[in-house]
Amino acid sequence: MASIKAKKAEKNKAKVKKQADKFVVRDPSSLKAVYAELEAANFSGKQEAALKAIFAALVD
Amino acid sequence: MDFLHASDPVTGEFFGFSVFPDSPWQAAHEAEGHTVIQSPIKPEPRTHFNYLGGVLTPKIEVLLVTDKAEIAADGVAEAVVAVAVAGKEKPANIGLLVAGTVETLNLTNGHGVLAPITAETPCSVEVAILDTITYWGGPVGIEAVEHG
Repeated sequence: MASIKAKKAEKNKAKVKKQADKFVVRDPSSLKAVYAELEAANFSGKQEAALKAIFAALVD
Repeated sequence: MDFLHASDPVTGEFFGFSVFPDSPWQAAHEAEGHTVIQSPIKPEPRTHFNYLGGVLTPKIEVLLVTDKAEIAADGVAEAVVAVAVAGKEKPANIGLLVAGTVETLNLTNGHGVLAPITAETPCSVEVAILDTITYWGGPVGIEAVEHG
């Protein structure tokens, strides 16, 4: 049980990347991040793949 | 009065002290391969000491300070974290954890400033010391909140 809780906590942690000499942090499970992924997918025509990836990350 | 000190002989981590010899506390530590020794010293707080090199040593204090505890989650607002390492012998760099990611910060005379932190979504960002056996201090938190 402890390892499952730890895994869930890890999943919900903010993700950080370094770009242009700045740390850019985002919570991939936040609605804002989900909307951004969907918007990007609409432009690339990859809506289905994006939706699958988003919901897999949210429910796991 | 003597105290029992428990430490990891490999990492130098200090786990704490007891006043009771031959106790379950001592047995548990020895079962883990930890070193338990007698000492007249009562090291408090426990979190400020280590046993690096097999010797009870005060940890080096590190000060982490942010200029903003709260920023807008718009990918533009920035918070900056400054680092200062105490003591006479200043390290050339120090390892930090930025939202769980390891970052090595170069220091000048024990001082340094992390690259600015921005957030694209509401979230909590913590900057902490990576090596908590050698150093103590922090962490510092920045809250990214919905703007507008």
